[in-house]
Amino acid sequence: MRKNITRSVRDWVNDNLPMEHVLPDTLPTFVNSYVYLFGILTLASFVWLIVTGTVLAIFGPTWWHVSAIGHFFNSMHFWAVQAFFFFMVLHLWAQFMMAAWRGGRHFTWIGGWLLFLVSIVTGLTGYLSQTNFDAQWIGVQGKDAMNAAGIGGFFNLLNFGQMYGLHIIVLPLVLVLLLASHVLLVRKHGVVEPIPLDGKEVTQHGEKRA
Amino acid sequence: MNQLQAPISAGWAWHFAWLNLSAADLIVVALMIVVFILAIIIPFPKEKGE
Repeated sequence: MRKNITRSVRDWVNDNLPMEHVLPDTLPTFVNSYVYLFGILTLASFVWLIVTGTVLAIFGPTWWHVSAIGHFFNSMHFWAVQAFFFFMVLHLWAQFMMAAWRGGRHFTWIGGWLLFLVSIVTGLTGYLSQTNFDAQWIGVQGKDAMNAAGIGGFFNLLNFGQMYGLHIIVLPLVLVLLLASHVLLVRKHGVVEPIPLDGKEVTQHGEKRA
Repeated sequence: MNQLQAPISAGWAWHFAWLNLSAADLIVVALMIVVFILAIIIPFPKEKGE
């Protein structure tokens, strides 16, 4: 059979992301702990950020500053971001303590860090998009840091249009793509095994190493 | 409190060199530690018939 892009992609997906890994119906017994919930709680907060953020973007700043429902959605967006970072940091602690980069999972770990860093920039552009005194203060103070870092020329905190555009479309898109690859990598490799008590790790090929 | 106060000087903060942590920051960090410890020590409910 001749090779083509569709067939190559399908073969790659079948080989690397089999459906029994992508959508598992059972999990190892060691996953029976609340510590393993921090990742999905972060993801749930992110979904709520997208939902409330979409409503805020549809109706705009004059709505979220003056109407009761606008205040409510603005507050939900604010508290969802508190939950998002709260659970993300707890997820980071948990994965660090169980050395979750073991067994070929290094790109899941690196991807998690990328998500953390992009989330911080998304949080910053969010603060700048509030259209209140807080946003003005952060913009005026933060521009000096950006200029000192040498990126103020194309990342201008005082340019509301740029910051708002980045916050509501570019950065969420990057986060969605990174999140999708992060979750797919977790599903591909499975949840990392606990660190063995005898200090010897079982490798992917079954042998033990110190 | 004066509405036009800068966020960085909005109330008490713990200063250590370049680090400024407000009371709210410290409460959140303490809460994260508490939730993390509880998540480790509270047993996860088992499925029926397990």
